Amino acid sequence: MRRPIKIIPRPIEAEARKAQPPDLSPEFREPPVDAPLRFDDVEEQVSLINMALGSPSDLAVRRMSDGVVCLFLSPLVDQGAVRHSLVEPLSRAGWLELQEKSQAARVLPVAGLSEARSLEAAVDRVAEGETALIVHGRPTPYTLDLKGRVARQVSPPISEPSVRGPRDSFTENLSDNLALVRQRIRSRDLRVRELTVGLDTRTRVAVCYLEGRSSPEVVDAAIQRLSAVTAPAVIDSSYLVPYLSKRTWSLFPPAAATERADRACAAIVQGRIVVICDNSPFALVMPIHLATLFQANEDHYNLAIHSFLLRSVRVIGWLAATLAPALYIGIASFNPGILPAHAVMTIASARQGVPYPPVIEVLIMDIALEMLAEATVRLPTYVGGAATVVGGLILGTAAAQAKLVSNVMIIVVALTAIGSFSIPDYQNQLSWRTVRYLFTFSAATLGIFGVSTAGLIILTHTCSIDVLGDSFMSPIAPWRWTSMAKDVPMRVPEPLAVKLTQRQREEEAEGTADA
Amino acid sequence: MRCACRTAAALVLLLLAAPTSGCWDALDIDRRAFIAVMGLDSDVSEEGSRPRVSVMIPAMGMPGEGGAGAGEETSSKVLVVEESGVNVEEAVQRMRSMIGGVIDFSTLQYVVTSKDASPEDLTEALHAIQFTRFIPLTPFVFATEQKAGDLLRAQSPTGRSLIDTLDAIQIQSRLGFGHVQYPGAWETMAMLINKTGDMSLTLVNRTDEGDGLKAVGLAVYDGPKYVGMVVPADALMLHCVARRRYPGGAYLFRGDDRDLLIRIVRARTRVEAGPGDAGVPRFRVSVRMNAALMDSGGYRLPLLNRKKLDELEQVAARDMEDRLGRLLERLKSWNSDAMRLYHEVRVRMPEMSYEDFKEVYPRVEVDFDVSVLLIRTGLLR
Amino acid sequence: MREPYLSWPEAAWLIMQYTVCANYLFMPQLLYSMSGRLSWAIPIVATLPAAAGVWATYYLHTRFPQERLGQFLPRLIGRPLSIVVGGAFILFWLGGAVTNVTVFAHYVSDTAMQSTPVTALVAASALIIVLVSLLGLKTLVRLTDALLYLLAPFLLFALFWPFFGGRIDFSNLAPIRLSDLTADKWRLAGAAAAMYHGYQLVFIAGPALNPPGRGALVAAIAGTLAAVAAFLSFVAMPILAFGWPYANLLTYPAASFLEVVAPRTGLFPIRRFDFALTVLFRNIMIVAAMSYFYSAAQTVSDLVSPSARRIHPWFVIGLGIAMVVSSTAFEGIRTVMQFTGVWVLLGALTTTLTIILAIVARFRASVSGVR
Repeated sequence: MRRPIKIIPRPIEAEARKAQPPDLSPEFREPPVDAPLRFDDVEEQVSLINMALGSPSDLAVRRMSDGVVCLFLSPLVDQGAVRHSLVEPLSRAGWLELQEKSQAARVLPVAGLSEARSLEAAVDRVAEGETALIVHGRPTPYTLDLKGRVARQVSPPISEPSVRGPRDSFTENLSDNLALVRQRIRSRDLRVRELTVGLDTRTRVAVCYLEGRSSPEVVDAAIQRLSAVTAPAVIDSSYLVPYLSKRTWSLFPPAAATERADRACAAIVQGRIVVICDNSPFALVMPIHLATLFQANEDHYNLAIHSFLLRSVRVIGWLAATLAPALYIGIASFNPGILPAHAVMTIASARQGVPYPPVIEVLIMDIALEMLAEATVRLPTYVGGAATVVGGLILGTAAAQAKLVSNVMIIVVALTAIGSFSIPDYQNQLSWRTVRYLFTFSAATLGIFGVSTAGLIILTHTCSIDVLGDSFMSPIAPWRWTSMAKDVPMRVPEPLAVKLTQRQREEEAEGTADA
Repeated sequence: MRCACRTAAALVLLLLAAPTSGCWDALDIDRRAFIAVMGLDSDVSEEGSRPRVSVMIPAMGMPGEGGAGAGEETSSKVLVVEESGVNVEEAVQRMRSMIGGVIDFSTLQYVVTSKDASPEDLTEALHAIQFTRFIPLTPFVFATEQKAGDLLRAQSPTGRSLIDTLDAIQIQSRLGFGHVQYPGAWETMAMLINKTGDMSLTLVNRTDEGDGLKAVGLAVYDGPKYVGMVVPADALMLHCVARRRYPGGAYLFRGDDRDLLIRIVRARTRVEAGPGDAGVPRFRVSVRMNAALMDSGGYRLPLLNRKKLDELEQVAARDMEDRLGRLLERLKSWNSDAMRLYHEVRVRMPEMSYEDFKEVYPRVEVDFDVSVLLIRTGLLR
Repeated sequence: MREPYLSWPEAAWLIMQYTVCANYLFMPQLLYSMSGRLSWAIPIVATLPAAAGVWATYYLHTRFPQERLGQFLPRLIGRPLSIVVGGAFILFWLGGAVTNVTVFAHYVSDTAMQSTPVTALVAASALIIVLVSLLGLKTLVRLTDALLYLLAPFLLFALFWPFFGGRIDFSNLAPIRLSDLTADKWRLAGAAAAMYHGYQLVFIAGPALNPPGRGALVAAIAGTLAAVAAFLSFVAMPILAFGWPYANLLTYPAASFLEVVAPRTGLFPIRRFDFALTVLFRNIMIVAAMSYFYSAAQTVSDLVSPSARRIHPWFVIGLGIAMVVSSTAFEGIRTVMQFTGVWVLLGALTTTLTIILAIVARFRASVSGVR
């Protein structure tokens, strides 16, 4: 626990020897040891701030003029802004003209000029990248926002590519990200509420929503939960998810993480809230529904019928990815009579000579597939291609020819892989890849009956999930026909969607939104 | 409390694993012996008749089954096992010591009964099939004049399996004489138990050369007892009446001083029953057919009017009526209600039981009224 | 319940599932044993007692809109009687859950998984039921909603495809003899009174209805009518397809009907159609069994502690274990069918009690619900 900083009078001489400002800028002038220091309160504050920060080597202390000193952490500050906004104006002003904030505001052409409530607060702000301006006669310094950031340029999204649609994505800079949002939503109803989370990282988090479109209860709940974040460090937006959803053990993502600005803005316009975290290129969209996790943003850029086709393909891929191995086990080990006789004989013939039961076949191939997928992600780009080829060879031809697995199993695993990669949201994809193992083990114990049991368990779990008071399975369950008609099986064309949205709002206002 | 509920729910899920982890029914597919066709004969001895069951098991992993690759020998390999027992179940249990694989009837597609199978054995076999778990209700049933076990060993020189051949025979029956229609086992069973008529089963034999199959007609039954056979042309007409809706087949008749062939594309039959003299039911059987006149050896018709076609319609209809009449007389002599006339009697005259009907069956009067709508299609008029 | 969340269409669907459930597996043969070929008329006759039950339930709901059965019974008829009456409902609902789960387990064991112990199959189903009950009524409602997309196409298929598939023959219903219907009047009356009992769900989910009052009535009527169609189909279709007396020989007529209703061609992707549909039907069964079980558990909890917000989790687990243990008392499907005969009588009793309670409430106008 930090102890509050107290100003304790000390012998000036001893203090002068202790303080060793590291900055070597030519403006710095170390006062002669024997000369009397007229601005001892200034030096005291400098010393205290320096000590509170642990005497960092990158702390710059610049004495602008008599009685005026500024401190900042060099890596976090825009040096050009310091020169232009501090050094030049202060070369024409003294400490007397900086006693009141209004005076200081006239002298310093900086928008982010404020008075620190205490020296403690000033230390925190310096740590966050602001510049402290200590003026003789003032008990606490001014702080100025002259932050410079190490940030990359806006670039195309890496994890959510698309054929049609914008190519910009969020970066690690919160301000840039907010700019991307505000460029798209220029409504006066757009609200951005900022908080600071993380005791150590003091990360800025912005909650964006449209007033009148988002539910006030949802917004308040999100703000409250963010305010209650106890994590010492918030390095990425994913750290906030357990606090926002209040589910520590969740199989399915309670929030959609997106690096696409268009997707985040579309969510805001739909009435959801978007949580953007500094230093994280992934914004969180909440509340999220299972149906939404299968929608890609391109669905709204393509024609409605094309979107329907693509969505259907995704659903088929999802079903194949989740159920194909389990169904193979159920049919090959328990209930072969469910298939036409020719298909049964084909599978039986394919399994001739395979030493392992179907469940072991499935596990071998599934785990190999997972390893290949993981390796492809971890390896550098130059080597990744070769690894994919090797993995494909091993998983494919070699395993079948060696009779480790049957040919049918190769087809099953290929279907599984392609199907799982067709799921748009990465976290959703991971969820269903995990669920697949539950289905596999259930099928291994009770066959098709086990698959059905596992399906019911998963369905029960998803039906029990509430995210910020909204059902995860909505609008599928509970029934929200208007909402479902708008964008679940098919994304209706925009004019019709507008009418349906209008009707949906009327129903919600009347309280008849439930079917 | 909500947290406690979720904890309890998690425990419940873990508990789920315990009673369900036995994998009791797990049996790998390649360790099963799938029965595709089952045959039924009777072993007659001094002690009586015992059912003789034969089963056909396609061999797995052999060319010709599951699709042969290019250049591979196309011959279908099958294993036929025969055994007799006091009943069908016992015969099957005896087989279990002869087959390298766990017998699995879930893929059973056909049941063939020899015409010499005793009524008791046939009845008992059908009951056993319907009773037994894992045997579907839907295998097709047909009959043979030969030993069922021999039929199962028929090999096609083209490499097609027995199942494929049987399927193909039925599929193209409507392009042929239309006399092949396999009822499902459950339909056959319904006929035997409900006693709403008598069954008729397609007769399929091995060819004389032993290299294939041929459908030779229809086996007609009185209850479970085989009583006679009708030729393909009669079989077509019998199907049209018995099944009430039939997809048809080719019919040959004499008209305009020549033999003409028509393809019946649709047949709808309506049977009306009513009390006749002395309580003997009287029937009116109306058959409506749509047919197409085929080329018939260079037979040409005027393109601009239908007069000839209308005449031919009448001739064909009369021919069919005569054939139906003769067929009925034969069926009466066999005491077989293969036309399922009683099916209508039980509705109109519910007081008459099936046994009562069979007693008066030789005396029933039936008016056949056939109408044919004939069209002529082809690139020559 | 904090706020109402159950719309009337959802309630209607839940009421239908509550009724239809696994009854398709045992109700047809039960009715066949009573009324033979004319047993298809019983689902129609049963609409009369159902109408009375619906009215009675609706009336009680309007009098006690925010209370469940276990909460308003003591105030209506006093604590001792409430335990007796509540106990009858509890036994009926718990019996329904046990019956559904056990019948289904026996069916699966008889047709698909002969080596798996029936207890294991029962336990698998029972544990899902317990899981849902632990998660609450809201989860149960949502689960039922989600199953609509799976079950509705199947039910529509099962109801309409047979007409196009050429499998059914309406003449199999003839001859119609009224004496068949009334051969066993008492059993017929019991079955008719017990047949449609889904509206009893309002006793449990009434406070969650949005809007309350008229929504309950509409839901009860719609759900019951939908159940009539389903029941009529399950009872009549086997007779139409298999004829009589063949349909009566089948152990599971409705399930066997589903096997033959599949398209004839061997190219159909699923050969054992009944088995694939059994999996889907299982979902019906599980929803109904959940509803029964939850109703029983909630009522017991309400009778013991009317103000408790949630059912204690260990209590639910205990009831679940009791359900599994009691299923082991059945020796084969025959014992289960004998029990269903008793269960049907319990159902008739609960229907009668519902009507009596409504009459009592009518005359005790001073007793009203907590608002």
